[in-house]
Amino acid sequence: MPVDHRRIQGPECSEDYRKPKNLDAALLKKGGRRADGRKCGEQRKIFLKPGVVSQAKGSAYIELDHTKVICSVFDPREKASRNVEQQTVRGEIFCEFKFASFSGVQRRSHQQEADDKEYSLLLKNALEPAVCLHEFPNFQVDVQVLVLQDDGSSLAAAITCAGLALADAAVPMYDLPVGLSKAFTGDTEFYDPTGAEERLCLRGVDGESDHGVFTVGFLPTFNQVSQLFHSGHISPDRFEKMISEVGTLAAEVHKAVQAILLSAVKSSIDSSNNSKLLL
Amino acid sequence: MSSTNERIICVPGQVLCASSNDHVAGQGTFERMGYIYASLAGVVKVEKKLEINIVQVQSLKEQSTVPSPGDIVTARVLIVKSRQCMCEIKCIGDIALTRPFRAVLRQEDVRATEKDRVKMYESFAPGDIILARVLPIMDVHTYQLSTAENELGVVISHSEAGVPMVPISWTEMQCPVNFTKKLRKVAKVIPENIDIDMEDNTETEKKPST
Repeated sequence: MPVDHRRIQGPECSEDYRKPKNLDAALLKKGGRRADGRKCGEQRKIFLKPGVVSQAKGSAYIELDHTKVICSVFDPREKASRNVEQQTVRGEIFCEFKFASFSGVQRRSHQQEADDKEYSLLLKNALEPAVCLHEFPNFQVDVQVLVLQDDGSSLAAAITCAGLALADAAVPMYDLPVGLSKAFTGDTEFYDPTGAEERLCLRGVDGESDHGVFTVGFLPTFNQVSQLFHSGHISPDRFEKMISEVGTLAAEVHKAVQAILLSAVKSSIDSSNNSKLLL
Repeated sequence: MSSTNERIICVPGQVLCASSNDHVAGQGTFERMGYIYASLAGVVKVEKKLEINIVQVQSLKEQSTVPSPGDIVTARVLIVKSRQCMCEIKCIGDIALTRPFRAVLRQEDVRATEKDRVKMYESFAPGDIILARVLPIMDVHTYQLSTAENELGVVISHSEAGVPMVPISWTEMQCPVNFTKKLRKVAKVIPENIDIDMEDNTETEKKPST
C-alpha cells in the first residue's frame, strides 16, 4: 500500500500526556490481588498443545487466559538470498510475527506493521541460540507466529509456543526456550501481565521513575538469557534483581512445556503399534 | 525422563548421560561440559558398536534431510548454459524431498577426463533426470554437483517424440521411435522399465552405495 508522505500521519486517537497519579484501583485491589484474582507473582494458567496445524511440519498453540497464540514451523528451505555480504554457511531461523486483525480492541492491518516487525526480530533473537543451526547449513526454517487474541505477554507466549513448535517439528535444539514477562511500575510488579496492566506500566505512574514491561527469552537447562526486551525505565539494581529471579520463574513454565512434549511423544508411540521405532 | 515399555522418552535439552570413552553422542544428541544432552523430542536409543555405546535420539517425525557433501542425489536439469547447467535436486539417496533445492553443475565437474573439452549442450538437455554427487559447499546459495564418475550422469532423457531415450553408449542416447541419436553424458545405471540386453541381468536401478 503506498504511504502518503505529504501529510503527517498522526495516531487516530490521542492520549493524555500526563501520567496517572496513582495505580488504577481496578488493577490492584485490596489485599494485593490483581483484577483477575491473581497475586502479583502468579502466572496465568497455561494451555499448550503441539501439532495443531496439519500443513506445517511442527506447530503449537498456547493460551494464557485471554492471550492466544498459534505457531507453525515449516521444513527447511533454501535461504531466500538477501544481503550477500552477511551470508554465512550456517542455517537461519526466519520468524514472522503477526498480530491478527481481530486480536486487539482496535482492528489492525492485515499486513505486518512496525511492532509486528519488531517482535519478529525479538522472537528470532530469542530462538536462535536454542537451535542447532549447524545441522542445516544454507537453509532457513520458517517460524510463523499468529497472535489470535492479545491480552498481554504475547511475545513471551510466542517464545514458549515457538519453542514447542520447533520441538514438534523435529528441529534439533539445544534447549526448550521459554518466554517470561513482567510489568512493573514503582514498587508494584505484575508477573505475566494482562493487556491493561501492560498498558499502564508502559506509561508509568506519576512520581515513580521505574516502570515498563520486561520480556525475557530464557534457556532453562543452561540458565542463559537468550533475549531481553525492556520498554520503559529501570534502575540498575532493579534490573539485576529481576534478572536473578528469571531462573526460578522460568522453571515453572519449562516444566509445563516438558510435560506436554513428553505426553505428546508418549501418545504417538502408543497409538502407532507397528511403528518403525521398534527396532 | 519418563519411560513406557522400557523406552526412555526425552525432550530437547534433557540430560541423557555423562559422556565418556564408551558413551558417545550420536544423532539427535549433542555433548556439552562432559554430558550428553538430547536435541530432539523422541525415544532414546543406545547402539552398541565395537564396545562403544552410541547414544541416539530418534524423533517421531523425520528430521528434514538436507543435501550434505558426498550424497548421491537425483536432480532434474532446468537450464543448460555453455559453462554450467542449473539443476533442481529432487531426491537425496532414496528419500524424495518435499521441497526441491537448487544446484549448479559446472563444466569441469561433468567428466573426470578432458574436463575443459566438455560441451554442456552435448552432455545434458533441459528436462533430463541425472544422478550426481554433492560437492563440498563453497557457494552460499546453491549446491554444487558433480557427475565425474561412471555411475553418474543422465539416467532418463526424453526425446522430441516424448519417449524416454535408450542409452547406446556412454555418450549417446537414441530415441526408440524415430531413431535419432542425441549426445548425453550417460550414467552407468539402467532404468527399471527399459528392457535392454545386458550381460549382467541382475543389475537393477540402484544407487551406488555410499
